[in-house]
Order: sequence, then C-alpha cells, then structure tokens
Amino acid sequence: MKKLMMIFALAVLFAGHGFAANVTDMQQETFGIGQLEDAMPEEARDILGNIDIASADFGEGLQSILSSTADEFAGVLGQALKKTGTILAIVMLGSLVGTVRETELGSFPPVYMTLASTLAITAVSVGSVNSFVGLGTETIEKMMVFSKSLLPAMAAAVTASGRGLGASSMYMAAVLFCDLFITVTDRVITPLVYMFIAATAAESAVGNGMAGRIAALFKWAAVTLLKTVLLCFTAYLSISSIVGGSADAVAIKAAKVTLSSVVPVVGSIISDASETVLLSASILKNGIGVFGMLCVLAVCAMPFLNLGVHYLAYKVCGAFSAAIGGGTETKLIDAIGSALGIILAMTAVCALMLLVSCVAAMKAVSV
Amino acid sequence: MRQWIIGIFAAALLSAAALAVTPKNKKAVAMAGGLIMILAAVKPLAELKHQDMAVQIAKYQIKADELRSGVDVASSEIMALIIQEKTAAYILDKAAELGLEAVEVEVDTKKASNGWPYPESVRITGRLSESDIQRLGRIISEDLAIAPDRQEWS
Repeated sequence: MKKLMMIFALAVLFAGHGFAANVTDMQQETFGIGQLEDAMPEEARDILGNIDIASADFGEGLQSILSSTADEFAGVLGQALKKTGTILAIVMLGSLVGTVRETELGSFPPVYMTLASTLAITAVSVGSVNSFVGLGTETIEKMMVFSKSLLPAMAAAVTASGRGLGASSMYMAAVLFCDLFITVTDRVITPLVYMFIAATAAESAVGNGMAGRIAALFKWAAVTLLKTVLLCFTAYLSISSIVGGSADAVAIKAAKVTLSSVVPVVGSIISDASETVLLSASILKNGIGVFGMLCVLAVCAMPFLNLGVHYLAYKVCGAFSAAIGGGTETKLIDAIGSALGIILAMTAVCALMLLVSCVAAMKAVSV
Repeated sequence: MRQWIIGIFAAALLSAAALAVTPKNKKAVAMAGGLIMILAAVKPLAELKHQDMAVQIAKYQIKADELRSGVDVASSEIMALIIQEKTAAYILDKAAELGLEAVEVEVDTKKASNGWPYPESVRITGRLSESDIQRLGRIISEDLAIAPDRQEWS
C-alpha cells in the first residue's frame, strides 16, 4: 500500500513536467544521498542489501531484520546457556562442598569457600562482560559514524521541504546530544559498569555491606545518567521543534501571501516550481528517515539479541542459584546480569536518540 | 579517567579502613566516608570547562546554519531551472497558438528580495515579423510581467 502511494506521488510529481526526475537527482546530490548510501554500516548492508533511499520500505526492511535475528537466536541462546551453565555448576559445586562439610564436620563453610566460588564466577563472567562492553561501545560507535552522514542528509531534506528552522534545531539537538552521549558513555558509564562489577565482586568476597552500597551507587549513577541524557534530548528536541515549527509555519504563510500578489501566470509557475521542489524533498526526506531507521535497527539487532539473551540468562541463572543455595554468589550473578542490562540500555538509548531524530524529521510536514 | 576511578576506589578504601578502626561513632565515620566518595565521584563535573562547551554549541549552530543556507541556495537554483523551463514552455505554447513555428526561447531568472527566483528576461529566436513580435511580446508582458525592454528578439 505504501509502495503504491509512493508510486502515485512520484507519478503526480513527474506528470507535470519531465524536469521532476532531474529535481530528485539534483536534490539527492544536494542532500548527500550518495555519501549516506556509502556510509551504510556493513551489518545493515548484510541484512538489508542495497536499499534505494527514494523507495525504502520500512515493513520489508523490518521483516528482513527480524528474520535475520531469528536465524541467529538459537546460536546465541546456546552460547548464553553454556556460559550460565558453567556458572551454575560452580555455584552447585560450592553448595555441595559446603553441605558435605556441614554434614561431616558440623561446621559452616569457611570464608575461602565463598571467596573461591566468587573468584571462579568473576573469572568466568568478566571475559564475557568485557566483550559485551566492547560490543556495546562498538555498536554505539558504528551508529555515531553513520549518524555523521544521516543527520546532515536528513536536516538538508527537512530544510528543502520547507522546514528550515525546525531542521536546524533538530540537527543541532541530534548532533549535540550524540556527541555528548558518546563522551558520557566512554568516560563515565562504561567505567561505572566495570566499577559496579568490581564492587559487587568485592561485596561477594568480603560481604561487609560497604562494597554492596558502593556498587548500588555506581549502578544508580549509570542508570540515572542514561535516563537524564535521554530525557534532556527528548525535551530539547520537543521544545526546539515547537519553536522552529512555528517560525517555519509563519515563513510558509508569508510566502503564500507573496505568491498570491504576483501576476497569476507567473505566480502559478513559481508556485508549481516551489511545490515540485517541496514534494520531491518530502519524498526524499521520508526515504532518508526510513533508510536511517532501518540501518540503525539493523546495526542494533544482533547486539540487542546477544545482550538481551545473556541478560535474561544471567537473571534466570541468578534465580536458579538462589534455589540451589548460593547466597553471595546469587548477588554476584544478578549484578553481572544487571551490568549487561546497563550496557543494553546504553546501546538502546543511542539507537533511540537516532530513531527519535528520524521520526521527528519525518513528522515535519510542510507541503 | 584513570585518576577518577583511582580516586573513587581510594575514597572507598579510606572510608572502609576508617570504619574498621573506629570503635565508636561508626555512623559519623560512615557519613564522612560517603561524603568523601560523593566528592570523588562528582570531581569531573567541577572540572568541566563551560566556555569549551559554549564554543562547541556555537560550532554546531554555525554548521547547522551553513547546511541550511547551502540547501536554500541549491533549492533556489533548482526552482530557477524549473521556472526557466516552464516559462519557456508557456511562451512556446502561446507562439504555437499564434501560428508561429521554429521559435526558440531562453528565459533568465533573477532572485526577488524574498529569495525566490522569478522570470526576469527572455531571448526569443526565430523568423518573426514585426507584428508577430508585437503580439507575442504583449502576451509576455501581460502574462509573465516581463517588460518589453527585457525581451530580446533575434
């Protein structure tokens, strides 16, 4: 249906004069569509193939992403189960030794037993947490590199579709917050995740409560920071869109008034030319938005699947560990799950910022 | 960054050590330790250079303005090309109505004060009689607001 509407719009656009095809070509060059297509991340190209921006179909693209993610699901689940199975075996062994000791000697397991199982769980998990942090930051970097081509192209298309001020503020907000976000994740959130795991491991080993409170502080700081960045971005984008949108509406009205005062034939020629440019830019703007959203989702699909499945596996493992009898180990497993959750949230916030920018650009209607 | 992490851990260790060796008033020591930790954690915020941030924001604003003016210029050029083509097509249509054939039309545009292009002058080439020129010239003046002094005939 959407394709039919697009074909109809293009037919209307091209019916008036043969020049319209050139208008789209010229605008594609002005907006940097070629560079945007070249900047398409490798993962997105693998999943989506080569998309034509002018006729990008969101439903079709989403289907490709979902089917490609579903293909990988079994493999990722297997990896997660293997990892958490090892951890569960460590907890089970520790619990077994403790129970035997308690039954045979009538004494509680010594501190070094807890220390040994904590160390073993940390050793097994730290490698994967490290690789997941790497996966998260790498995904964010890929999105940011892509955004360097996506955001200017989108802002250019929104400007050409008659929303110059709205486009400027949208572009400003997106670029500013993307840069801010990459600095915050790199310098604050990622170290906080590591510190959170370190403090939780220390709490599991020593168990005096102090390290646990420190760990809770680190987790709270990371989560709050992510929420704050997203909230500020949304608020800034909303306010600037309203202000810019009103100014653009006034400019469009003024232009219409000017056109109505011109000699009828000339006025009609100028009006037709303006409409051709605006309509072509609007079609390209929506195409860029859909293309951008699909690329962002395609880049995020596998990392989300990996992080999400491992996060759930660690949480389930924590619940099983509690059932087996692991006390401090359960907290550590749970904390590792939470750390993966923070990395997942970090990646999701970055993706969400770009998706919201795309939707905001597509929502800027002017024709 | 490394210094920041070391600072937080040092503050945590110091607090834990102080708490361990304190026989009485543990609450006060814990509170002092917490305060030291908070100070260590927010230290990077105090080091943020607000002027640098303002410069960065100004750079983004300039970039956004450049982008907008670039697109405006390009859109105006595209519009000018469409106007030239449509105006020429209109003149050719009117010439055909008057029975004039083998006529070539070239239209030049100019930017109005609001930045929009409009047909400013026209060059018409063809074997035309004086009366043909007068008839077509009048239509061009009346319909397209191109004055006779901006009409070139050859």
